[in-house]
Amino acid sequence: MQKERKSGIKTAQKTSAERESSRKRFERLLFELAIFDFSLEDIDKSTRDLKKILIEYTGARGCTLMFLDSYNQLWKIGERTTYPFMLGEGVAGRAAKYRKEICAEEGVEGNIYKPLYKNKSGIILAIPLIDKNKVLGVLNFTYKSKEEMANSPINHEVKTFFVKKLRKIMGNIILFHKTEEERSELKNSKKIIKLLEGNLSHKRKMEEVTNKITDFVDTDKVTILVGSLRKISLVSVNTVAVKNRNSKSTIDLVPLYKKRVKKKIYSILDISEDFGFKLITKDGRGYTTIRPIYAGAEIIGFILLEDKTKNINNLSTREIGCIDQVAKNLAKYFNYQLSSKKIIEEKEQWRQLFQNDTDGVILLSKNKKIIEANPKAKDIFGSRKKSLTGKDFFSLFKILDPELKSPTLVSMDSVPNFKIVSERDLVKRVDIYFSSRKNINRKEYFIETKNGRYWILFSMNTTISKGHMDTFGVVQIRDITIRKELEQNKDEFISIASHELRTPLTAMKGFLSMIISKDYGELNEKQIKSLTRVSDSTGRMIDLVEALLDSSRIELERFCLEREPVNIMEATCEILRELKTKVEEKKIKIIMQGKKVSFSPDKETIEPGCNCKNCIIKSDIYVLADRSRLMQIIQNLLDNAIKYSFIGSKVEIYFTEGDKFATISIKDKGVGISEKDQKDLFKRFHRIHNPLSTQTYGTGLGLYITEKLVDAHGGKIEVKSKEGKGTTFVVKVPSAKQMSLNLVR
Amino acid sequence: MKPKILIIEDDLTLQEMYCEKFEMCKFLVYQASTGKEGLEKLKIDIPDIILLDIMMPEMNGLEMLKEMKKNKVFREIPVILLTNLGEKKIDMDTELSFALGVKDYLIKTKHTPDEIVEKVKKILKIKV
Repeated sequence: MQKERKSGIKTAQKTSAERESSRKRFERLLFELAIFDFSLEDIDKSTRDLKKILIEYTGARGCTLMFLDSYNQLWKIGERTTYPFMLGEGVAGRAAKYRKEICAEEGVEGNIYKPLYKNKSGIILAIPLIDKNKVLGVLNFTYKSKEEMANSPINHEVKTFFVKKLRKIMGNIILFHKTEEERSELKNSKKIIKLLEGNLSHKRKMEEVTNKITDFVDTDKVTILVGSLRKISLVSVNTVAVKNRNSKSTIDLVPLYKKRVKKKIYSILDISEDFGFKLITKDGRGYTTIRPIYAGAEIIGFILLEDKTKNINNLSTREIGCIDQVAKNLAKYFNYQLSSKKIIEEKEQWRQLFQNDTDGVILLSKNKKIIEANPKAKDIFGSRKKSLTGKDFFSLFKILDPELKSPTLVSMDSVPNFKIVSERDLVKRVDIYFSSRKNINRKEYFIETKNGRYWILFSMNTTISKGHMDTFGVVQIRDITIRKELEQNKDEFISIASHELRTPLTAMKGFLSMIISKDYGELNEKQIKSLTRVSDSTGRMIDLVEALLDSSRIELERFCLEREPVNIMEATCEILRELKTKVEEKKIKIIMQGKKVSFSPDKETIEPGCNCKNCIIKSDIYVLADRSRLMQIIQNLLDNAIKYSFIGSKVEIYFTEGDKFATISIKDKGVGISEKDQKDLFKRFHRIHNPLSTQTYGTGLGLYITEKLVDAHGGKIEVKSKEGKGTTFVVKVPSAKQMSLNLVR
Repeated sequence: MKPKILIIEDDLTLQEMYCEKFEMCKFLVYQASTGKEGLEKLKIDIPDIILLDIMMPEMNGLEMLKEMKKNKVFREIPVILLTNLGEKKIDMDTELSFALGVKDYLIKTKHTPDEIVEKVKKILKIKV
């Protein structure tokens, strides 16, 4: 260990002394370089002078300065005629290790050159000259041995600095090396890019490109082929020579190309070899040089250069480079064309969907302005000829109150047929509509646009807004006017029919009651019994007619609530008194707030509605409701509870009061409702099939109306039930706490 | 003296029914089928109470009430409105009708003639 360390120190001392001298040399070198004037007039002499300086101060045996042209070819400075280097996959592989190193150091990517390698003349240290991620060139130093190289100031420590200094010179050299011809080539290349990006038709573009190629390549005819290898087609020719384009020449070319050239295309790094190939077309027209058009690793086409006399080998590397450059540009173009063709096709499909949708579709921006509207939407909100883009969506229509849409059966002279919902109301409604957390909202509105009045089902989908900053959502507009009219006609019919039924029913009920109460003379028991049955049935019919009327009123939104503070317990007691017969018939035990209710009270029980001191029930829960409607709600529920209870079972009623809501719950121990039926419980005309429902009559409207009424009050109804064990209905109604205080005063 | 009642109801069957009932209950009954006819009948004799249907052709119950309001004598006659359930909320302005001297609403389908007689007697303070 110690020995090793000692020797280590020794070598370090030794090298540090040497390094001292090398640093001096390096400083000198920098100075020399600083004053060195690279003459672009005589580049060979300048290069020689520069090399001399470099060799002198670095102690290298030899020095080569190379630059990389735009075709990735390396050129030795001063020796332009030497064959170029192609930097491709092979080199990239060899340079992988170095790339990592240099990238870490310089913060660049894609550096491709091996820093250190051996050849016949010794060890070569290669320094890539990088400027802004681009390799400008390479500086090679040749040393005889590693030791010799270690003495060189061109080591890791100072390399970067040195490279920086050289960059400027390199830049100048490269500029110089771009001859007039090359500069025009560069321009040509740029022109081609511009051309391909331009607005010309595809055919014209291809013609222009082939013309451009003939500008810098001496050839008779240029042909561009594009397509997959299997199915290649002729896209353009610039001469009349290939008129027989359906001749098999172009197709034969493919297997031939595959067979003979494809292999070489992948080993294209070997520069000294032919990279095109000769082809004698079937019509015997002569030689053809073929350059592939690469899109990534895939060949998507070829550029064919035909010349009757000229051999492929006569094409200079520069020319080849130029053609390859064009091929690169073409590849980009075709790739874009192919993808854009797909995009266009897809776009067209979507456009078809959008344009031909039988529903109106509107794309809305965040500030509720229309981005796009389809023809159907235009039909409703504007006209087909005019664009709706940019218009404020909510300025295009008014929401009308459907409640007063058409005159009701009663004369409504004083009321205008239509009531336009106030602006504030509209804004509120719309806000609720839009601010809902659900992504998709559906709601029916009766609206007026400049084209007329419509019933519209608006579906608002705001999910898309997540991806697109300015898009708020899609509004789907379904014209449901016809459906609504039919519905209204139906409800109107129900309304009229049931209304017309009332008067005769009233007469029946009235006369029957008079007969039964012996107004017209004595009756025997049998007569009374049958007439009572007739009277009961008439009563049922009246109930049904009333329920139908109520439901049609709800559907037509033709009922309004007159809200006032209502003592919910008093109201319940009133209903209980009305239900007395039914309760007694079935021997139902009514429990209210835990106390038994009896119609002939004793010490243990209370009388419904009794407010005596002994009562536990304190009648002080007030709700804000329409008295008769609230009673209808409670009556429906109590009616059901009794109806579906077994004889002699209990029905419990509880009241609770919260800050905002008062709750009444009605619990029975009857037949219960299956889970399946609970879902449809509140649907119109829905009746549950259970043993008792066949015994009891019903319309299937009771709970439907009840729910709608609770809803209209701003309340909520819930059901809990177990089959065979009973049902509990819980109704929440807005409390009138403040109002009740006022009442007391 | 028999209490006098004016029954205004456009449906003749119902009219007949109410008339029969009230006659049985020892009332002097006047009858009319429209508001206009009712006003005519008022000019002949002043009843103690009016049973008034709302929905009628020519002149409806409310319009008749408004007309009655213009006459100092007619104004004082108590009125019971006959209606059908649920209608009143839409058909009538409650405050207005009470201002016009309406004593009660009776829902035709709900109340039997017996009950109506009871109500009338209550208002007229006749012992049942």
